[in-house]
Amino acid sequence: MSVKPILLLGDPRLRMPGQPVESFGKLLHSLIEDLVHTMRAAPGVGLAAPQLGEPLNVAVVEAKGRTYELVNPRIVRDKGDITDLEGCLSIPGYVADISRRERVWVEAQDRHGRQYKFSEHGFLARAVQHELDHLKGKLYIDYLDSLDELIAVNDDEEIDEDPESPAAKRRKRAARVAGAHSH
Amino acid sequence: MPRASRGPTVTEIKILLIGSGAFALPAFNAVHADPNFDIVAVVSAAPRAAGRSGEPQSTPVAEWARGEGLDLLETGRLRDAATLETLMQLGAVVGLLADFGQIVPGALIDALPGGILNLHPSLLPKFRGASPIPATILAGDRETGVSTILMDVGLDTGPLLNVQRYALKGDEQSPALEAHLAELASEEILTTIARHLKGELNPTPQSPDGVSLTKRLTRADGLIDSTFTADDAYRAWRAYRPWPGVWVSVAPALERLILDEVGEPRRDVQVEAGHFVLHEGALMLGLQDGALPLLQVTPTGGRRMGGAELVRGRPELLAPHARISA
Repeated sequence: MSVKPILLLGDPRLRMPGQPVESFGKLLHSLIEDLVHTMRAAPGVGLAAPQLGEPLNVAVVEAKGRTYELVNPRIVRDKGDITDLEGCLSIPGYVADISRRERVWVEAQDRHGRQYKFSEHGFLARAVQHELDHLKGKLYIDYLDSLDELIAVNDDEEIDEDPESPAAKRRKRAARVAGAHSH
Repeated sequence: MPRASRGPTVTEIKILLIGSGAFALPAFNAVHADPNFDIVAVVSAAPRAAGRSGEPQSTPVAEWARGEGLDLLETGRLRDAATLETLMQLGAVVGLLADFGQIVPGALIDALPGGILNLHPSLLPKFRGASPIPATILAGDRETGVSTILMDVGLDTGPLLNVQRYALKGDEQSPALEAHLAELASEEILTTIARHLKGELNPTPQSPDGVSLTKRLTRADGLIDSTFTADDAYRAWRAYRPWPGVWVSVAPALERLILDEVGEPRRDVQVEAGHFVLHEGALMLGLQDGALPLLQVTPTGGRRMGGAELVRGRPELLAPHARISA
């Protein structure tokens, strides 16, 4: 297990859908370990196998003291809508407001192939939806009407603007959450 | 605003969860994780002052509901008309109650088309009431289980929908037994609710024989005196963890000595009932028919310590006149 490089936007492997996992052996276990270590080192709250160049239906999500190993995950039900800032470890330096489901019900397998179910809301539900998108080759920027909706969060960048302007406030809010919201 | 795509929809069973203690959590979690259920609200007891700080503490179920982002109603009075009105308007078709500790008004039961299912950790009608798990251990039973009943207005008197049995080894302590039974309950509750709502289950009236009732435990229940056998005391210690705990009174020297950790009874140690003795460096309490090793104790106003440490500080406990109450 080790920290691996995370593929960045532009790498075609990020666009390849993950394949179903059928074998629950050592290779899968070490992939999950790599995902967890790389996610924690980033740091981020989730990471999907395609982000490490592995086209498999495997992702991990970790926040609020909970860690989910998601193998062949499916969202079987959802409820409500909520908009919040979201970032991606494959698109460093930016976040955007994305509308997601407020609550999701998920069926997945663990590293041993055991089926399990859970329901999550809010921040963790958002993280799960973000990772499951990765498994379909989808990125959050696909939901944007224009790349102008991206908010830069590079803190050492000097921006010459009125600190009270809406754009500046938005940038400040984005910088505050960017660290904690990347997947 | 950009929108992510929607997932498939599921037919949902609107359910009201009612509970306070940790026994309810595995079953509640099973309902929560299942996409066929929609939890309209969670009802739990109001926060109560607890611990040394006296700070009001939420129940385990209330903590859980908050953490899961579920609608939570904390109440000390479910009978309250406004509270009842609110609950009845949520559109639940069925309720699930476990480890709640308050009377549920008949009006609420009647308002739910599927009624309220109650998970009770005993083989009903044995050990109805507030403390079935300690009662099971105290009785030295070889078998217990979880009964799922359809609530009526009596105390755990409703007809049985499902009975799950659990064999006892005879060394169980209350917290672990509660956890095992809670897990057991969670394994079948989804099926039981679904089958009940489809009318596939025949609610079976509880047997009129073998009825027993357990009461809410108080600190006084944990008092061990010199008339106890060592076996009974050991069983009480296993039953009364973590609350109310077992204790002895060595008045006037020690108003109360809490027995935090004890060992299995020793028949090879000779000590008169009611007296303390140091045996091979370990503190023992003589009882009828044997001695009870006192591994960890807490004296009145003191901190928790080893038994041997206690008598180093209070050697008078080993004097011939020092004995626990009879």
